[in-house]
Amino acid sequence: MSQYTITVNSRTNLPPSQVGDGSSTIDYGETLVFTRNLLTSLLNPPYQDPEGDAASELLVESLPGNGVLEYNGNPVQINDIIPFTDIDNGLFVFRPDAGITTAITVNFDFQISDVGSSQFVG
Amino acid sequence: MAKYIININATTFSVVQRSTISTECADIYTFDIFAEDGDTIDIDLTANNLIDYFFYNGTVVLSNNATNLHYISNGVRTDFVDTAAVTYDTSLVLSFSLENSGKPGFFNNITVNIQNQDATGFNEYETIVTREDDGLKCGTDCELIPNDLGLYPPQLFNPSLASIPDQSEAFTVLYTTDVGFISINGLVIDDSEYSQVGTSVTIDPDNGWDDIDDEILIFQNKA
Repeated sequence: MSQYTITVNSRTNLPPSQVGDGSSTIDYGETLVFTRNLLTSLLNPPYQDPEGDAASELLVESLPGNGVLEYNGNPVQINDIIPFTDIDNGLFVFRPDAGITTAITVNFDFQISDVGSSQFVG
Repeated sequence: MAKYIININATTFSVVQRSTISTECADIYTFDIFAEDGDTIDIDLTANNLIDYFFYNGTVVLSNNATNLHYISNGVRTDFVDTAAVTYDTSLVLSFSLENSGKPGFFNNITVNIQNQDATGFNEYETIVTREDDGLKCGTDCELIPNDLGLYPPQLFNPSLASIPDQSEAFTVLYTTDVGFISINGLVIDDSEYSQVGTSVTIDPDNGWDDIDDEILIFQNKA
């Protein structure tokens, strides 16, 4: 009896294809609560994944000055990873220093992974 | 690498400490407070108990409270004890004195905490000031005669006009020696608010004059 063999190659889930920069403006004394929206669709260019996977985690690569990034009430350290499920719960915030008497701009670097590949891109 | 940029708008609240006026008897501390009209400003002065070195005869000693506590809101002086809540209106100045402790190795000091609450958030200023003199107190312990302070007796003047902000006025004093300090209604003004050429002293108070009855005392050095 003849036999026909079919080999199905595994599909490699690809990392996010696009993670842009983000920005927000806050008043002195105001705490910025990050949301999934701020860190995905409102990035420039917006977060995109080839398979349409949702963002999974955010990797903090540098820290902003003149304030503190906090995760669940604790200061964030470089290379800390923040799950987007906790970002959804408002646990990732930036708290500026008190007494800022001139307008300033601070920033931090980050990467994002997707649910399928778990690879960080930024 | 993606970057997240956060723009932080400036606060309208700030506190600037003027240069401290030091005499034989006390240091006079003055703070200019800036905020937006309608903001609530909470002032809290707390005597410190720094047990690390504030021992006197084996007993922990609390620093004395400041004396002559007052604030001047929009030109109106109000005395208070330890705490005050003021609605900011145009200008606000805080002033108080710390006297000599009269106890060896013990220095009076106080924590100044000024808080601002407005619609957009909360902000605060805090500092500790110390009178670094443990000599006998003036007054009942050691009465000092004004002429022995290196100053001539104060010379009293009144402004010719009232309620005119940014209006300077010149007064003729008795001596050509430098002005030691000047007080208006008991508040020592900053050096930048007056100038002297010979016996002519021109005063340009930040908050203008209140009334023609304002009491201006000019203290001149004897040498």
